[in-house]
Amino acid sequence: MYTTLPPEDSTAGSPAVPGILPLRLDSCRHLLLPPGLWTASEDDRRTVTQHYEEMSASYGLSLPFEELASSRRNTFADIAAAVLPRDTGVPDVIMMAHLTPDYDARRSPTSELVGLLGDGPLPYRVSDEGTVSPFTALRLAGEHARWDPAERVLLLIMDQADTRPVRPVPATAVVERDSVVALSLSRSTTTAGIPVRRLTGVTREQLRDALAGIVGETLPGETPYALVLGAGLAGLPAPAGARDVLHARPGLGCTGVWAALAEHAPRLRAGGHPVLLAEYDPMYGFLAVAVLAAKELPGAKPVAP
Amino acid sequence: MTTLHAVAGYLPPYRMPLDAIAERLELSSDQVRIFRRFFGFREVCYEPDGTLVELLTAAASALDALRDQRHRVRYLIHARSLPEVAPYPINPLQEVRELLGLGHAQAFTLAAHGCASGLQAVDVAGKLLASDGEPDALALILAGEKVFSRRAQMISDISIMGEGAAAVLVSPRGERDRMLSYASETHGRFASFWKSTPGSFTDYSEAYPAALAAVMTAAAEHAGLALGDMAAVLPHSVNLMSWNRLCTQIGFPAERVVLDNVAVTGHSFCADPFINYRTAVGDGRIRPGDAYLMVAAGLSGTFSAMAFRH
Repeated sequence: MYTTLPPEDSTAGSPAVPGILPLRLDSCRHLLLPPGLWTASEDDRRTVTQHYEEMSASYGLSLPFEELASSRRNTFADIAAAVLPRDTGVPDVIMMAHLTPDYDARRSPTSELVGLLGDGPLPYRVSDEGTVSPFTALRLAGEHARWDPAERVLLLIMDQADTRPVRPVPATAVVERDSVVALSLSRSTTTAGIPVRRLTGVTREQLRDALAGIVGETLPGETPYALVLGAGLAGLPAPAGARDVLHARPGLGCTGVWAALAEHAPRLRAGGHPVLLAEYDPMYGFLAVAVLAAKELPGAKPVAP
Repeated sequence: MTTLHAVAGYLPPYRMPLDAIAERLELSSDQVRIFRRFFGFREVCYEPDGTLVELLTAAASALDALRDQRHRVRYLIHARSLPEVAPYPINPLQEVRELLGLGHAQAFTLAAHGCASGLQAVDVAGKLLASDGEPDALALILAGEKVFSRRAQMISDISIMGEGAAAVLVSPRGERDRMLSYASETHGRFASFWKSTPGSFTDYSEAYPAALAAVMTAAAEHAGLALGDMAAVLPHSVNLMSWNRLCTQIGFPAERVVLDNVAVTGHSFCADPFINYRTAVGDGRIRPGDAYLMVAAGLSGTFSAMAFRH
């Protein structure tokens, strides 16, 4: 059971540095899943179909369920189970963040994860913030590390390809693969945690200056850094000081920038510079950044002699 | 410190009587009799032509304390029971953010705890505000959902959902309605409650009283109190019978559980404890200095309780 007291009564003793989450990254992993097969009993299929068709109708949309979600998909519960680290202990907090919907209200993916992990963790599901939801989930995880004795966090960032938009969306909101990134984090006992920043109301025209500004606030001085740009920042010139610039693959929804981190972790670790992840959601004008220490990233796997 | 700076309930003016719900859901006369006589439902809030954006905006507009304080709101959180409430990419929450003049605020949804997500939102809002270190900053939590489908109208023969809503301003300072503690437990075996798994509902019904009593007791104890010290329990309005049974089992006076709204609102997703707060403060069941509990259970298998001092 999760129990907590208000912040003034906290005995967690974490270092409180505004804007820096008392967390460190232990591991990160990215998976792309092949198309799945949505399964349900006839009765459940009828109920779920009717539920979402009635939901669409309440917005004046007369759509068959197949127009919202194909049966060739992995639901979030399937995706979470596929990426769940088998060799790690039970986290205190499970964070799930996503851009696209699940359209399978029968199942609670976070509760299924809690069940798989022995009923201990406090689950979160963070959404409706476009492609920057994972940054918010990271922030919330950091709050539990700061104010509660939460030692371990599992952050799952996921999106589905076959839940289809009912109106035109920017390219950043089109998801082409079922994708998930699992980040295992633990409480940092030093002041060197994970800085996070977020801006609202940023227009495309303001983006270049806004990114430079938020980078300057997050990494003060002339600190050289590696930069991982999300798909929402594609084509934008890198701000000053970026020594190594990586671009997220398009079509991965809110997982893209985190997937790039996981895929290039050995290179980023070898570079030795702080790694700044940045994502921009053009639908809402949200810009978010987070900084990870290079030494916390997994290195290259040793090559067998 | 985490305090409830202001709480507003919003009940849409329209009501759907139980007989009309029975017709929509094709309930048997026996079911109707159980819902009316034993569960205490008479009608529910239901505005057929209203949208979720209108519902949430109306709830926020009922908060007098918000009117000239919008610039202080750093976070806007929709505490939600249903994981999806609109076809992608329609995003009612971000529309509400704009309509309320909160373009500067960070807005996101929390939905892992089902109908108990409102209490999780209060806890994490308090943590966010404490970390930010701005004593005047506020978080606005909105709770309330549309009953857009027949499946969303009724929970497995135990409750009927309604469209009541609530708006809550959370502050990192102040003396009024200080949060004292929070307890929450998610039982993974109830993660697939909607599945037509044989026995799943029976298992849930059997586990429910002990699971709810456990978080209520834990919240009271972490606040340095006993359950009996609570002047009131502000519950999720699931039905009368389950609360009366629970009170008998744990020896808590049923008259201290604020169940007045069950008959006229139905179960209002995550909004019930806050709607019931307004009722309890309004009729003096909670007085200055009193300790009380907000309690909720979610279809995700989550049971939660939060202790406050008024």
